[in-house]
Amino acid sequence: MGHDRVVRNRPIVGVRAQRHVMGIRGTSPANSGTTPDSQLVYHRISPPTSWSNVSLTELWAFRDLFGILAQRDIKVRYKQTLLGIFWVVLQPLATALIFAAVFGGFAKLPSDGAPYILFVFAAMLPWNLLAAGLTRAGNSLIGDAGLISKVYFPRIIIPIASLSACLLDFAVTCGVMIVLSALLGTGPSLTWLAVAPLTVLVFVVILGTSLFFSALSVYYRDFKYLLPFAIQAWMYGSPLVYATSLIPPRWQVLYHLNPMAGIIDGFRWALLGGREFPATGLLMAVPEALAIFLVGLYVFQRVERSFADVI
Amino acid sequence: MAQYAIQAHGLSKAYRISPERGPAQYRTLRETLVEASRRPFRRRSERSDIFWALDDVSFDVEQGEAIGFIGRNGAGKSTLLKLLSRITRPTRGTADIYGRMGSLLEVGTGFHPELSGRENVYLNGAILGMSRADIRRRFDEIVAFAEVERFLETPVKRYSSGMYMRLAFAVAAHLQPEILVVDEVLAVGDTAFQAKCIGKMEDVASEGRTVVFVSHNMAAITQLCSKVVLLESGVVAASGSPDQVIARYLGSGNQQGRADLSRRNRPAESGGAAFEWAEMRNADDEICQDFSIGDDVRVAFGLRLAPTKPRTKLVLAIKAADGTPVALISQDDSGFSLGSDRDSWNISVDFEDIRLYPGSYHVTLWATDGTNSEEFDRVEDALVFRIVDGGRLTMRHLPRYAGIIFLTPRWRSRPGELAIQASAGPADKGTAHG
Repeated sequence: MGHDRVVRNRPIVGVRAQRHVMGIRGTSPANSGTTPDSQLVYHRISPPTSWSNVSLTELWAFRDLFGILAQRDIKVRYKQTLLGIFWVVLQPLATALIFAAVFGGFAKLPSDGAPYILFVFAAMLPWNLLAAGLTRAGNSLIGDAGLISKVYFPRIIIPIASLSACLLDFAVTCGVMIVLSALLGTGPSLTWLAVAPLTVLVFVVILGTSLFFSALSVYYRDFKYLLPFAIQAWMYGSPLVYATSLIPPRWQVLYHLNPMAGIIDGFRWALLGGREFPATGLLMAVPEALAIFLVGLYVFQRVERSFADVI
Repeated sequence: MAQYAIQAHGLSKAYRISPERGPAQYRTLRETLVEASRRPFRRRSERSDIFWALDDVSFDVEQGEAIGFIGRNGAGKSTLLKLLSRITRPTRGTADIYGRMGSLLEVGTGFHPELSGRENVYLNGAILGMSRADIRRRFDEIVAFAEVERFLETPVKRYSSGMYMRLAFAVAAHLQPEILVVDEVLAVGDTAFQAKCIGKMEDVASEGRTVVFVSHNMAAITQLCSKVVLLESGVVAASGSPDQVIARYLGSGNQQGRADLSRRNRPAESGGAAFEWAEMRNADDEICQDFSIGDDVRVAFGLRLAPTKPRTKLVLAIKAADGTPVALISQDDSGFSLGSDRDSWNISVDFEDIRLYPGSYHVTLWATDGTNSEEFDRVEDALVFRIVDGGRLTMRHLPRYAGIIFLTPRWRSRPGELAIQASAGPADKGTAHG
């Protein structure tokens, strides 16, 4: 540190020399010293303005915290369980089997040619990421209330970190998909590469919704209870257990106001093979995802500044 | 030439308190909707009371200086720390911060019980603002300071509370910011641990870092800080050398040995009972603040119970000026209990022949429910009294703070031989300063 000009006066108890009486700024005798040392980080604390920018440089400075929080969420999740990480495989597989039995077996919903279990599993890749990410990230701020009221860091790290922790589950589920596809379907093909940009797209949707729900649940715990219902309703409004072709043509545009429709169709196109590229659906999903993200970000930064006072 | 680490100018923080609910409680959507529909044309700010936790607070802190903030509960100390450490933002005013700031408002923030000691060091370090590389570099030092080498891979939920505290403080102590902001973390832990904490903070201060410290512990403040600011009801009441400001703090509010407590700020009360006033009287039943050793002292106070007249238990604590506990006096020890047929009581507690060394002492009043599980009211430093030199018992000039308890044991001597007896009883111990 470069300020060794300041000699610390360590007084002995009782014979203390008063160095300078503090008071209103300007009355202090050392005005000559007010220029900051150029090596020191300078920060001004001031009342919030209407747009407190989410600073990317600040987020970068806290990148380690981001990684460590995500790591914490992953490590903690399956602590003291017997099966540990196998739950990540078991959960979607069991759900897919139930869906295949109920909707494919009994209800005989059409699956556009593919084996029903593959049909539903391909859709569950983005959907489970959304459901798990939104549930975790949506409640993340309340869960870390202790941190928010005791330490400063960009609050947005919390929902993003817990959402990122869900990407591990997603990767494992992708592995399961590869195995299932090799066993029951066409096996890997080049279109599988499209999963990467599609995942970015679904991530943007989750980010927006998570920021929205997590921020508002700090103020109104109602959102915490609303969230599971919202996710469930959203599931039935998305082509998870049925095909998009089931929706009558005149409702298709309305139906695709849900970006997950295009995204799920995209995943099916990429993973199942032999289908038409869902151009319209994805064309709608991209701006929708961006809009959701911007709304979520706006709401989040608007209410972020008073989290510590409210939580 | 001085350089500033912090320049605060007119910092103010307002909180909204809705009359029917406590401050800072979250609301349900329904309540907001109901409220909004009831009074659709009123603005939010008009609807509720504004409470200024801090009001126009200005101060400067030089680089390398250790500054202490003192004040009663509710004076705004914690709010100030929260503003400085950017947890919340001011309503008005600014503060310029020169240097990387690390704040420690709680020991073990973010510790996760399921994670191992090692994992928590990284987690906690990152939360406090250290990078992964920083933590890795200091990891061994942290572990050695905390003395938990053998338990690094054990989840911290299996740690003893002592180990937990040591590890948590070790991480914080190895945070190396240019400005360290510390709240009353030292209030926890045993005496040895507190001494270790203070020692570490002195090291930090002597390395030329700036320390901002908030505490009720006057001994710690005196030891650590070269400058002290006294906050009262959100404004700077005094600032300057520790001795002067601490004296002002201890003497404030009850110059005449009587204090009106009904308007004094304190932590949220549960409402079971509240102290209204307190006073001290001498043997002649005069209100008095100065006593001599051996005097009779009466502490009296007014207590108002809630209409339900809950069972109430009263406790007094006496502390020396530097915060050292002198006595905790419970009604149980004297076999006293309060009747349950009235909701307003005047209570007196008589000390006969008080045997304290010259110095200032402060009295804290507590009212809890019968089982000590709920605190009805607590007034820190409700009264301050002095024991002054002189009086019927003192035969010599007594130095201030040479001790706490004034003992006059019976001394005896008998003729002895020069032979040294190994098995003799303990050597005579009387007043050490005879």
